[in-house]
Amino acid sequence: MVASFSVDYFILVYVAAMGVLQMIASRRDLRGMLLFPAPSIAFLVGLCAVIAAFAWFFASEPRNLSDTEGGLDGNRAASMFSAASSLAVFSTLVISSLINRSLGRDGQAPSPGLDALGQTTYLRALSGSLKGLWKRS
Amino acid sequence: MEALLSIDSAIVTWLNQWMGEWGVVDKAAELVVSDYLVPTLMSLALMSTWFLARDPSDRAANQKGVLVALLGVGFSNLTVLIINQFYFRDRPFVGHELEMLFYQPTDSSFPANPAAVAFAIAFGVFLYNRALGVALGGLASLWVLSRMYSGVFYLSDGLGGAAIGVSITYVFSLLMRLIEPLPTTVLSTMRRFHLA
Repeated sequence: MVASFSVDYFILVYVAAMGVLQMIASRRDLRGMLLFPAPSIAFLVGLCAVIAAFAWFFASEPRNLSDTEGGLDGNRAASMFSAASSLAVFSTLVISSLINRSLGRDGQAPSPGLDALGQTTYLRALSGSLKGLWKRS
Repeated sequence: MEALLSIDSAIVTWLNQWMGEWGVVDKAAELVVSDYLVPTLMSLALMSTWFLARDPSDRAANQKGVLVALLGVGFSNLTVLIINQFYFRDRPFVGHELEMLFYQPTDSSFPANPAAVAFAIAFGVFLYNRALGVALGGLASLWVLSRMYSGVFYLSDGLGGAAIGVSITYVFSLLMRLIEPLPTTVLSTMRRFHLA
């Protein structure tokens, strides 16, 4: 029972976090993080993913359960959130890098930090930064 | 103390008497009172705060807010745990006949751990991003109100929890300034790897 509740919560957080990341990427013009060609589509799909994840989680089973009756205790819920949201960030960065692989091919040095994702993909920006660090060392 | 307890009881019983009057309100309260809706929304908002900003300096401020909020959450939890070793207060449903929308927790009613956690997040973000902090504070207040409506907290439990969350988060925001440039160095290192 707890295992199934944990899996459901993991799915809720993973899908909702993927949705939130698409909404942020479209709002802040981080094209290297988009999973869809148009920012407006990415925003809409992201919003639908968040709503659908919560609707599914709360409509599929009774969720007001104590941790002794199959619910999650606070620590477990926090761990599940951390794991699922980290996986969502990792998946978004990797999948968007594959989808947008032509972005930032011009070889220009990417901006520092997350702003690089406005011009290139995460994997390309990371490889550029690592090469820079290697040359300097 | 007696006066405070009787005010607490009066508020909970007054709020709880409306249960069953409006089905829509009860359904909404049943959703909001859950252990999973508000905490998950607030945590997603915290995650968004990490990425969302107009420029790099705004983003750095937001990210310090996230770090302060996370430290505030952890240490507020610990403070509530320590207080619970020395003080136990029965939940409202133990001493009053109340309608319930929520399971019956067995831990101490005071101080309310959910209020401590939610207000730690809201205040941590508020210190660096006023608009989002106010929105999260509203969400945290709604959560506490739904728990009072459901007979799980007294008002003073919620206020006590909120005071713990806010004060501990404030202490960490001061500490964060004291240990500069360490937080800025950590964020700069993460920026090199395009993670901040």
